[in-house]
Amino acid sequence: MLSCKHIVDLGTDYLDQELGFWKKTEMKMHLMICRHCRRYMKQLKQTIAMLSRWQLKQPTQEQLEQLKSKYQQTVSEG
Amino acid sequence: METQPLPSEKELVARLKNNDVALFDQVVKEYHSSMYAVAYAIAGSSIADEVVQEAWISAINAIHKFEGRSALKSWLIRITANEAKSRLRKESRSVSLEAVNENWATDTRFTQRGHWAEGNPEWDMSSPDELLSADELKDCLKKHIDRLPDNQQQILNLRDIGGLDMETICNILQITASNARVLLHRGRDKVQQVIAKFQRTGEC
Ligand SMILES: [Zn+2]
Repeated sequence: MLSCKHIVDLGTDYLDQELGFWKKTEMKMHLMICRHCRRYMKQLKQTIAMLSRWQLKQPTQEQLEQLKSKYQQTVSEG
Repeated sequence: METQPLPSEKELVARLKNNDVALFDQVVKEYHSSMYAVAYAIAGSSIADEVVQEAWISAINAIHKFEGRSALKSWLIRITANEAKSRLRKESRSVSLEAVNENWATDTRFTQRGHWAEGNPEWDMSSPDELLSADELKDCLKKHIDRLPDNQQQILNLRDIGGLDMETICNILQITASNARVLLHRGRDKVQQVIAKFQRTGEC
């Protein structure tokens, strides 16, 4: 029997389809009866979605201008 | 802050070779964050900015030779990773799974038998936009991500923030796919816990 702690531990393997047939089946059954773990899996997906949308760093105006003039210069000569 | 979607790969590359500055501007803005995450993960914060600028300059110099065998973004990320690796003077950091397993044994979220000790409540804020609109939460997350063990932090940056595929990540970090998934999951789980605590208590 998988405990809730096991389910939490297998979250990424489950999402990436890396679990074998029986583990996956066990996990699905656990998720059917346990709302806390169901919520955890939902929250894990939300966490990943947030991270992928997080524009942690935009170029500064100065960096951008520098690259644009380098680009214009190089490509027009090319 | 949605911008116009980029054109198809083929058109994108053709126009970039043909001195389309407006499109270049858009491409830099679109891919900079992922490149930065990769540079940061490999070379560290002090030179990440420099690495990204150098990577762009290498890309500009080589764009006429780019044949489109891979996606432009993958090509840019590869250049960034190579640039970052060449600048790295520190010993490569070794991957240790021991610390990870120790933490797991003493996780206070669960009872000794592995049940949720206090349940796991629903989140009030859940969409990426809602989560990312809370500056206090973002600061809190940055702080906690900074405190993660190096290899978990690296892989979170490379995979979830940088958008690199797992195979490339395993090559860069020289680790197996299963180790990579364990480390990635520890990082994600930590982020989940920070968000959960913030929603429950309003505190970091
Ligand atoms: Zn459960």
